[in-house]
Amino acid sequence: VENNASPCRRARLRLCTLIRGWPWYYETAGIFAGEVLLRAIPNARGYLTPSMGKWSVSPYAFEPNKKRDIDGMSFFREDFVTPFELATANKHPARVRVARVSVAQFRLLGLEVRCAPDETQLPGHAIVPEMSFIAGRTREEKRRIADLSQKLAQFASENKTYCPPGLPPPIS
Amino acid sequence: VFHSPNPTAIVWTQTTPAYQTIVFDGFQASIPVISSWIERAFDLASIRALGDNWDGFGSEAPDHSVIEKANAFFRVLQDRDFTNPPMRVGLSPNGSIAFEWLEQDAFLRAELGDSEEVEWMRAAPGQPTNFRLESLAPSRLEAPEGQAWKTTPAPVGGLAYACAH
Repeated sequence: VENNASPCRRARLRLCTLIRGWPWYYETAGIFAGEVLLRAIPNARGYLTPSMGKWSVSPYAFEPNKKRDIDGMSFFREDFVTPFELATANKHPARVRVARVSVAQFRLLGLEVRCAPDETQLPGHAIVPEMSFIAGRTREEKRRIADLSQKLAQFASENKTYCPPGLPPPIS
Repeated sequence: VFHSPNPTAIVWTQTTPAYQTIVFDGFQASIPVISSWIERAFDLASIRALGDNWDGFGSEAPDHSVIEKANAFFRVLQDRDFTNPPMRVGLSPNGSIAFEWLEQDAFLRAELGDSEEVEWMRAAPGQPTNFRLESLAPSRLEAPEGQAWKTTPAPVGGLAYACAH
């Protein structure tokens, strides 16, 4: 999916980005099936519990947030930003962890991923429009979103989360 | 004996600490189970202390009425099945509070929000995800159900959604 944003920010140099067209691989380029998307998750109690097995990452990490996920659930493409950069961009005292979900996994759930470059954010911003925050959803829609959230949480748990060095204990 | 014409006014107050007593009805709970309940109670208390932007993404502070409901439901869960404490308590970015369990290979969640109902969700790989509602009205909470998810639940609001993994 292409959009009209200026192609100002280039992908990181990696083997996979070379194959995808680096140095002409900009954040306006369509999303590749082999890409991985990153989502920062709060370092709060109940958001990462290893004893919860396949749901060690809480489904709440993938619940649409009315401040953050207005046009769609917000992610960043790993081709453009590292988990460390994403984790350190959030200036909350408790900081954040970073979950990873592949584009192929989104497609397994029937979810479309769209690039949505935003100059006010880190490079490689992408959204999942179907997971946007919409006030006043019906109960059935809420349940469908809750189900998608728990499935994304399963994928994120399977893919392991990134924990930045020196992460403080969860906020309480 | 000298009596002061203006004796110092002393006001005695006597308070009784509001201890919460857990009654064990015919069984002895193991120390890990009791510890788990205490940890979850601590998690709930921690949620109460959160302010605006608690998650770093601009979420609002949790609503105290939702916390009160969660506290009440927590006590109901203790009464129903003290041997099966929640494994996790979480606050959603939109203010709901969830109690979660891992039961064999299934994920079980009881979520409380603005309404007077608890939304139960049961998800297991390869199976449809099921939802059902439970009323928070006191008379409905007497039913001995909850952590033990019924395979053929009698939903209050109807089984409105089920989908394959």
